[in-house]
Amino acid sequence: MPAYLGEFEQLVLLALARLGDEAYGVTIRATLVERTGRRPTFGAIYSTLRRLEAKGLVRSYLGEPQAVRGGRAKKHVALTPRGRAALRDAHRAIVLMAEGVGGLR
Amino acid sequence: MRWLLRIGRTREDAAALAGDLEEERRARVRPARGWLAAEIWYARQVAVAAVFGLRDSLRGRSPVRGLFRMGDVRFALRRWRRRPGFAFTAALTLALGIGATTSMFSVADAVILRPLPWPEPERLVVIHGVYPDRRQDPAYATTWNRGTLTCPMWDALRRAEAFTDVAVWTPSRTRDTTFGEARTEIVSVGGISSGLLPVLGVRVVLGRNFNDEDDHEPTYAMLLPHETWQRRFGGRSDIVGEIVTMGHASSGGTDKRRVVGVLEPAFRFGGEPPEFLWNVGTAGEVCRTYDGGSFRAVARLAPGASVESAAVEAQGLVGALQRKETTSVRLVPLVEEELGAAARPLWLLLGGAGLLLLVACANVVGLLLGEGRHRRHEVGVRLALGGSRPRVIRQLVVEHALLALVGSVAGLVLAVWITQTLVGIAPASLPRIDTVAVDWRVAAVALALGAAALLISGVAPAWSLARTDAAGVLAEGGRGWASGRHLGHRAIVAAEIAIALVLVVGAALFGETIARLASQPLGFNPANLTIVSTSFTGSRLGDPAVLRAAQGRPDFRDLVSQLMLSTSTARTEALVTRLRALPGVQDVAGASAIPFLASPSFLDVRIEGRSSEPVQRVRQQVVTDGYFATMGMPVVEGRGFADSDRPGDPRAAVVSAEFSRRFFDGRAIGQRFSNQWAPDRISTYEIIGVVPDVKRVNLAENDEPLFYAPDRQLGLVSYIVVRSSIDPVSTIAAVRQAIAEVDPQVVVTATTTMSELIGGTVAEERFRAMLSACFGGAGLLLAAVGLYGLSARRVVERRKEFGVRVALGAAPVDLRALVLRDAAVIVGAGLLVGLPAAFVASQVTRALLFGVTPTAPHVFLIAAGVLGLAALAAMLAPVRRAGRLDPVVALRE
Repeated sequence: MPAYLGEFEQLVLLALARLGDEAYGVTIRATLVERTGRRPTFGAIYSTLRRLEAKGLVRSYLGEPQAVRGGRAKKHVALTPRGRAALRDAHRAIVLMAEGVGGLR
Repeated sequence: MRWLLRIGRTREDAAALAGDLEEERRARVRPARGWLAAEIWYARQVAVAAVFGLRDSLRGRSPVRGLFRMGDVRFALRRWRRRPGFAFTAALTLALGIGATTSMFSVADAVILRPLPWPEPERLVVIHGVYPDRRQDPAYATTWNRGTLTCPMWDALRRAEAFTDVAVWTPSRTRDTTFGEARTEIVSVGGISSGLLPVLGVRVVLGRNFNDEDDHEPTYAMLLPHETWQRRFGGRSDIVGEIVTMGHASSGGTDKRRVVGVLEPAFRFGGEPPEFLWNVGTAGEVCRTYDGGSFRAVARLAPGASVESAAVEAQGLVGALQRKETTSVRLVPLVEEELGAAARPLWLLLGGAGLLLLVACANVVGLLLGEGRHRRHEVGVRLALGGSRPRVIRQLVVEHALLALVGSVAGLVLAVWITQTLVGIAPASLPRIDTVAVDWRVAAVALALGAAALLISGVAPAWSLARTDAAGVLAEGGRGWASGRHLGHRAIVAAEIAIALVLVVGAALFGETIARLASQPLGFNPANLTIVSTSFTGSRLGDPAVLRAAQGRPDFRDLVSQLMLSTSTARTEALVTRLRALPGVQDVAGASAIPFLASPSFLDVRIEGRSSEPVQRVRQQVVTDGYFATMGMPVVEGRGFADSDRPGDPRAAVVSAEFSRRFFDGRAIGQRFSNQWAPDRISTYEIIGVVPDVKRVNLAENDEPLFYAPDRQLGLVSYIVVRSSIDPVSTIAAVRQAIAEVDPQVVVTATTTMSELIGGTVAEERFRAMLSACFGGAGLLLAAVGLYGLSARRVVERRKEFGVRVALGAAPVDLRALVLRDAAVIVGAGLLVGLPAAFVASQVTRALLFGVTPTAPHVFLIAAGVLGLAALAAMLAPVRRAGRLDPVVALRE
């Protein structure tokens, strides 16, 4: 039974897939801003990531502390195989549902 | 503020989130938008993240699930968006009160609340020598009961059972010192006994502490503070046992001292720590035999001993000593000694900030009450449609909590900024001011204040809303409330005015104090004066060959003093001539003392023709000829010094106005006085001129008799005054350079400007005046906003009544008078309560005032007047609105 994904969750997972090794809070938000025009808060992104991690769809690891971050480490995030599968399912559902519907392009 | 991010998150997550926010914030500080935009963005991010964290942590927990829903938050935000004025004013008001209180707390926390960094600091006492015989002597006016201890006194005190140890130290002094072949440097050296480090809980990390022998014998041992060890000796681990040769440049002598140990980092005691710590036994047995030594003492109370009982024992032991003068001791807890003077003004300022917070809370209550009336209809509809009362209350609680959260966060951001400003302008005399920081304690205070503010401001409005009678409200048919007496709201605004009055009175008192101080005549012109402190190194005697040839002659002593005099005079003259030639320099002079920097020495003189009177203690200052011109001191009578005032008898003297008044009834010219400086030597002075009195240490002091003597007759000049036509700071480098060129043996120990020196003397008063002015201004603003809010609402609500009045023949001016009268009652009530309150509150400022009493009627009149004006300004818009009312429109509604 594939995990159900909310719309914002899908967007975050897509951002992760797009960013690869570069994914952490700042880049994830930048990608969302750039591609969707939305301006999600960091609080919302972190809350979503935690939910996704609890579902086993993403995993995280800490990087090195950096001066530009006030001496704090980055929390890198990456898709797990399950996360990739869930993203694929969700995307497929959208594509199948949209097939033949006019006015979407 | 970062702890907000910890809500509902692991430490790692919170740190990563904080890092992301920091990174993004730095990227956002762009010149075009400024730091404020970035700070606001940051505060909003933190607040939202805190809400998300709270929601995440509550998710799935049954007992609290029902209490908190994102829907309520969203609803509240939607409401605010619709009425941004209300949300903005309420949050800003709260932020202002919380910001001011929090930043004052962070200063008070660092300076007076945080415990001193020593083990059991409350058991430590400072022991002052008390010498009642010196009380009448102006030279000891402030120090007769804060004196030092001698060797026998120290020995006696060590026998006291009330102390576990009595440690002594000698305050650090500067020395011109050479290390080996190196250039002369000015270093600071202080002495400590072996007991000081254990008493203060400071560890020796390398080698050993001083021991009993070092305390009593000239062992020439030395301890290095960690910083000195690192900087001068490269942190070498083999330093212990090494002998360091420290030459004393001016005397030509040398000290060979063995390093016995290195202290742990950050040793601090009694101000800046010295670079080198010497043992105190240098004088050895001589110190005891001749009652020598000049120690400061700190002792640890033995278990069971109190300050009082220890004082009795110590006084007994010291009193039993056979000394030439009456001697006693005084015990002061170290905590009080270190922080006592700073504590009272800070508590006062903290109280001021608290009052401001109170005004802010009152204002928010007023805003919420006003807002509540707008919402009665909405609440009525919700109740009528089946909404439960608890549900409505929850919604209100969430809204208020959100408001408090936003207010607290904004207040914290404000506090960080205010605190930085405060530390920047705080007088350097505030102990530990460098440790002030907005940390978690301060953040906790801010949150607690926010919660308290919410409780105070939210309960009444929420209660009155929740009791809304649905049927009644709906029966009004959406016409809104007609009129009410608003007694509660009016009382609140009156209270705001009363508190604002207290704050304004405080601001006026401190403002007048600083104005009075600033208008005190200095006696000289302080603009564009640079002061250079110098130390003459090398021989003071000039050519050693001349001296050797004179050895054995009967007048050898006079010859030596003549040589010293001519060397020193020639040096000073060469310096003055060279500096005068610098571009931008108008005038240069030398002196043995400088106002606000170094006091002139005391001299006992006998006034001629009054041989029956005892000798008078006066101050003597040695100056070069150009001193009065350089300082901008007019010679009000007679003349200044000239080249013709050569060494000889009588010597020329210029006296201060007070000198002339006190000893010669203002007719001093041509009069003489004398000073016996050795059993067989008397110098006579003849007065050739009178100059104005000059402030010496602070602006509030009384004038003292002082006379000036030319350096050609006495030497001893170690300060150079430079008056420039340009900014004095820009001349300092050139002056240093020129001095090094003229005479490499002259070491510049410090440079400063007169405006800095004077600024330093009133720094505390200025700090208080600025802060209380800010509190007063903010209180005034908040009270005015509160009054405006109430009146504006009253005018809207009484539209219909006004319409009827106009229809019945009232003129616009009558309506204006009506509105004004309404406000005047509130302002009057506020002043009626506020005046006595301010009268009582101002008493605590008495000790901090100068030239004004806490009950000065004009201060209260001015404060009440300022409040009245602010109230009038706040009423301007509501009054105009009432006057422009169109009765047709009003009645048709």
